[in-house]
Amino acid sequence: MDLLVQFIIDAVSVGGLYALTAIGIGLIFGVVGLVNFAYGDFVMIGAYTILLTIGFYWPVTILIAAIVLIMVALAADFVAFRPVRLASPETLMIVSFALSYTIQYSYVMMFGSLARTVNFLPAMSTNLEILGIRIAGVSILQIVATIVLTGALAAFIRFTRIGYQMRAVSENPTMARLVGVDINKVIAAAFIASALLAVTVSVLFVAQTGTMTPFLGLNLTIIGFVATVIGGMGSLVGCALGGFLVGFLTTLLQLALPADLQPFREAFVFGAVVLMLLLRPGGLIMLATARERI
Amino acid sequence: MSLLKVRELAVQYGAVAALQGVSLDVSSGEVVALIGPNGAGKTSLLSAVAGVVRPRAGTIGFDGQDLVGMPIQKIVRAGIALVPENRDIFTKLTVIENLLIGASTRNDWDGIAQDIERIGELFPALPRLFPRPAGLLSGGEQQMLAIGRALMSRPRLLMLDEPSLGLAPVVTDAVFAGIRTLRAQGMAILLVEQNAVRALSVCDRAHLLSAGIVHFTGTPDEIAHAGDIDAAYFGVPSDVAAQGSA
Repeated sequence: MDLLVQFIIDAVSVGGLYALTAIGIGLIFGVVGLVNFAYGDFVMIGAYTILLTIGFYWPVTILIAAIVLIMVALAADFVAFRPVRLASPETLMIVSFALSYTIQYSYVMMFGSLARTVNFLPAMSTNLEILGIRIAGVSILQIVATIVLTGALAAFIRFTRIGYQMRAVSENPTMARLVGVDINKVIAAAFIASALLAVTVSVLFVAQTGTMTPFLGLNLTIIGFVATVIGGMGSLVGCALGGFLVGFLTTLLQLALPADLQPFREAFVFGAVVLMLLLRPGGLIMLATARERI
Repeated sequence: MSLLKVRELAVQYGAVAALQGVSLDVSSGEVVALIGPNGAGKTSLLSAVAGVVRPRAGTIGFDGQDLVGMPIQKIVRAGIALVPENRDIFTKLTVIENLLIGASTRNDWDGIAQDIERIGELFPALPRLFPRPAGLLSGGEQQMLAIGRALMSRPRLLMLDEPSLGLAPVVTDAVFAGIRTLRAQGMAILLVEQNAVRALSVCDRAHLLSAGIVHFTGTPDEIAHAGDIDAAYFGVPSDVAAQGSA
């Protein structure tokens, strides 16, 4: 029983991290039609900013990281993506790859490629005992952050003016412009929202692992991307669901796979994705608009 | 004094010339119809005026401003609203959100609320549908919503592309009743219609467009009496067209 509860908490907290990543990628895809492979590198920049500002009181550190990431995301949109706004999705994706490598290797040139330890929020790595079950503080933080952030984002998209403009741009960008929506403003808002999700992932990632490398973004992006594919590209609920599913699968495999096979855990996760694409190419939650395109 | 002034407009898609030097005017308070067969270039003209398509040659003047090359959003601010052929309502937004998004260029919330009320009076079928997802609306309701959404930007020129397309006659009646009310209120309208009888029944002047060229311009009466043209382009006997214009 304890083992089961422990497993569920692990799965939900890992899944939450993946869900936040997937939503950050899915949100930009929905609004701009861009699969942003540099998203994980935003998380890396957030992690490094935390490392640099770790001496401050922790909310200040998080605030600085948030401001830096918002500026990075807006600059990425302005410099890299806006000039190719009307290009095909493939072109946009390649631009995001270029941006990703630029960020990674700029970091390597400036700071080297060594892994660094980040001792952020050390209190979070202590275990709490709740009803006889030991839970890592960071797991609770992950679960709470996921719930609060997805809730806030959903409310923002559902109830605000920018929110319905986002949904409109996502459905039909040309018509949105024809009714006078300032499409650049809406896209900037989407990038800001994705930067806020990224900074949360940075905080949780650093608090959980205590280390960072310039290449931590790649793995995260791939997992987030896979989660959006499983959940259904462009549906935020689907992205969240996909993230939790990948988290659940990873945790399950960690528990169930024999030690010899552990190094190949990812192969099983991605195998599941291939299976998913064969059985349900549109993802768990298939959008009406996506269906029309097929 | 003409509000919209199109001169020698040419639109080209690759090797295909959609418009080859079309000129037309719409004055304040005037309803101008653009009729003609499929592929005549009617939609291309509206797209060029709205800024979706960049013309190869020619000028588009609106109230003294040159619209060619102007960003779409600025054209909306200048006072032009387009209701596209397939309506393109936002299916995942609610009906009221569709109306609100039509007011994206405005921030006068009192005025926006008044305009929503006014659109409810123009199309009495709409208000009870406000909380519904717009994707669940019937074709006629979607057309009314698309016109309402366009009106929310407080345009001085409303461009309607095939408002009767795919609608049952009874539903088309309701849509055209709305267009007549707008005309009575002094709204300048540029109306594209394949259904010439319907178009001639509401317009002050009509242009007959075919293969990217204006073939005939005149009042509904003049067009109705040029029987050959009707027969050639629409297969509509001239007496039917005359009835429509009466």
